[in-house]
Amino acid sequence: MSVERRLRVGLEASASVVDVDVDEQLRLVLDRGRRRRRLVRVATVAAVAAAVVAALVLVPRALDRTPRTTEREFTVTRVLDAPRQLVWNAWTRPEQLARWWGPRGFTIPLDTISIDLRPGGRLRATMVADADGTRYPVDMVFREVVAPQRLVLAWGDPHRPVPPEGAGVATVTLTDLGDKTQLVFHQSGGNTEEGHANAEAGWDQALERLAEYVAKEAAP
Amino acid sequence: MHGTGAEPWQGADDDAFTWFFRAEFPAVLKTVWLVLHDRGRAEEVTQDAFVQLLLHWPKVVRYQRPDAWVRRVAIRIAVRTLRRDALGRLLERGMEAPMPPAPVDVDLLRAVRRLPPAQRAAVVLFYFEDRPVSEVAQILGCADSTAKAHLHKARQRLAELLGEAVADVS
Repeated sequence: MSVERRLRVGLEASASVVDVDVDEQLRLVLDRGRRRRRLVRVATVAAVAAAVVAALVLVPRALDRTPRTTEREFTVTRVLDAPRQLVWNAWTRPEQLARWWGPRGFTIPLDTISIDLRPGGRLRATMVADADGTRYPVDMVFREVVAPQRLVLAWGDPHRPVPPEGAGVATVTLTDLGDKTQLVFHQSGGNTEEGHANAEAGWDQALERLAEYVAKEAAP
Repeated sequence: MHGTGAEPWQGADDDAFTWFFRAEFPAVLKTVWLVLHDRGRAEEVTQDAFVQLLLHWPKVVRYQRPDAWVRRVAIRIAVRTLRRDALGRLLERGMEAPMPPAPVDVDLLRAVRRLPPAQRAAVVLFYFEDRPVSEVAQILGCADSTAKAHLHKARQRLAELLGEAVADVS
C-alpha cells in the first residue's frame, strides 16, 4: 500500500474513534465566550473611565495653568564653605535669615521676619528696597521640614495668582560634604514669564550672600 | 431579538452559530486531534478556536468562510502548542499516549507523530480533510510552495519510517 493511500485510510480510521458530546462542548464554548465578553466589557469600562478622568481633571488643570503663569523652573547649586548645620540655621533662624535673604540692594528688617518651622507653618518677611524703601512682603508655607537637610516652601494660590508672582514651590536640599555643604535650590512655578528671570537672578544673588555669610560664620 | 443587553450572537446570530458549531466542531476536533495526538489538548485547542470564532462571529460570517477561519485559528494554536513543547513533555506524552483500539493503523500514527508540527498539520489537512494545496497553505498561513514542500518532505519521511516498520514486522 502506498504511503498516500495508507494516510487517507489510516487517518480517517483513527479520527473516527474520536467521539464528542457536541452539546457539552457547545455549552462550554458559549460559557467561555460570555466570560471573555464580560472581561472585555470591564476592560472597556475601565478605559473609558480613565479617559473621562483624564478629560475632567488633567486637561482643565493644564489649561488652568498655561495662560496665567508659564510653567517655569530653575535650579541653583552652590557649594558653601560651612558645615551643614550652620547652613540650616541660616535658613531657619530669623536673626540669621535677615543677614542674607533677598537680592543685593534689599534689606530685611528683623522685626518683619517670623518663622514657624514645621510643616504647615509660615515664613513671613518683608524685603525693603534700599534705593526707595519699597516694601515687598513674602508669605510662604513650609510644606516639608527635614532638619538639617531639606526644606520645601510653597507660596501663592494657583487659582488666584497675585502678579507678579503666581503660586510656586521652592525646594532647598543640603548635602553634608564635611567642612562644606552642597546647596541645591530648586524653584518651580511662582512667576510670570517676565518675573521669572528676576526671580532666578534674585535667588542667585541671595544665595551668593548666603555663601558669604556662612563662610564668615564658619571661619575660625 | 436585538434588545438591550443582548449579546451580538444572540437572536438570529445565536441560531446560526449553534448550527455551525454542531456541524463543524466534531470535524475540527478530529483534525486537531490528528495533529496533537492528545485528546485533552485537542479539546482545549478546538474550544479556544471556537471561542475566538464566537467573539468574532458577526464579522466572520459576513466577510469570510467560518469553516476556514476556525480551522486556521485552531491549526495555528495547535502548531504553536506543538512547537512550544516540540522536544518536551507533549511530544513524549504523544508518543506514549495509548493507541486507539483496532482497526487503527498504529504504525502510521506513530510515524505521523514523528513529523515536525507544520508537516503534521499539512498532512492532516491534505489527506484527512482532503483540501487542495492552496487551502492547506491558506489555513497554515504560508505560501503554496511552502505547503507543497511540507507535504513532499512529510511523504518522504513517512515512507522511510513506514518502510522500516514494515520490514521489522516481516
